[in-house]
Amino acid sequence: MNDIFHRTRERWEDEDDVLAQAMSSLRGASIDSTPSERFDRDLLRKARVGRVKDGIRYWLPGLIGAVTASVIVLLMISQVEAGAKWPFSRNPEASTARRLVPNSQASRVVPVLTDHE
Amino acid sequence: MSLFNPTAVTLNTGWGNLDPATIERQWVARCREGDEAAMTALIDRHRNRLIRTAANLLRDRYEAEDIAQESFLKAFREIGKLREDRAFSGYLYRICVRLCMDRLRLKRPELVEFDPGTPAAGNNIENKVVVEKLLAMMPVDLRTTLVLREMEQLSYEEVAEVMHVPVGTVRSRLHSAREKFRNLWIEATREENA
Repeated sequence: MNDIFHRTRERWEDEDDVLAQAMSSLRGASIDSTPSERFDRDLLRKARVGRVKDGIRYWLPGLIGAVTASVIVLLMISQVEAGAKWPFSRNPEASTARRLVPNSQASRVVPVLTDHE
Repeated sequence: MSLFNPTAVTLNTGWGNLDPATIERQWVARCREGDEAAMTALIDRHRNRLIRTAANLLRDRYEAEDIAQESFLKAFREIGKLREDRAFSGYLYRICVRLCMDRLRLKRPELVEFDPGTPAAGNNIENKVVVEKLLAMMPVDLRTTLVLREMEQLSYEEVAEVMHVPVGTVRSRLHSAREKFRNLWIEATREENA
């Protein structure tokens, strides 16, 4: 019984030794790294670029919205202007023209087919 | 040295007798307003530790610098969301560890064959190579827990906070990680002795 106890204890001590050795080699392999000279400069530059990008990202949806809205407003204005001129043809040689018939039907506008040939 | 205790770092601020924690709070507040000098001060204070942790986790100095920069940028971008100014160092460190874990998850776990000529506990460089290979064979969670505890000397509570898991999980992960690392290490030394 005593023998088994001693052998088990020795085995545990061996295992502990191995573990201690392994951990010691692990700690011994620690890397003590010194940063490169450019580290700070590069990092600050990246931070600056990042801030600009973030700013653009923040304002971009608003800018796109504003541009889209102004284009829509301009288009609407031009449509309204075009709509106001609509009954009168700009092209005198168009295939249809509108003429006023003064005598019998004074207020009626009658489209008249013109023959260009 | 505690990671989350701002007073644990000696500061050369030129601000007289102000408490370092107070100074850091002021830097964070100024950083929110886009003050570059405050940013530089915060970078100067946390840079080395961040790069070292990332290097130990990733085992790559260049990648570590990359991750450290990314962590700072993310922290500065989201500094407005930080409720307590004093929490900045812990917040920054958490970002860094998470980015490292994400990066490690993208890499496939390696199955490494040991050269019979590579002693497992020889000189320092060889030891680093062996440890690097052993860590590469471990799952990301176990590896991160082991590195934070054994290499970075964080307390269980700090590891739990950084990894966003309960302390009990840290304890069980650490136990598994040590076992796994020990077995791999035995295997490596056995191959060396064969």
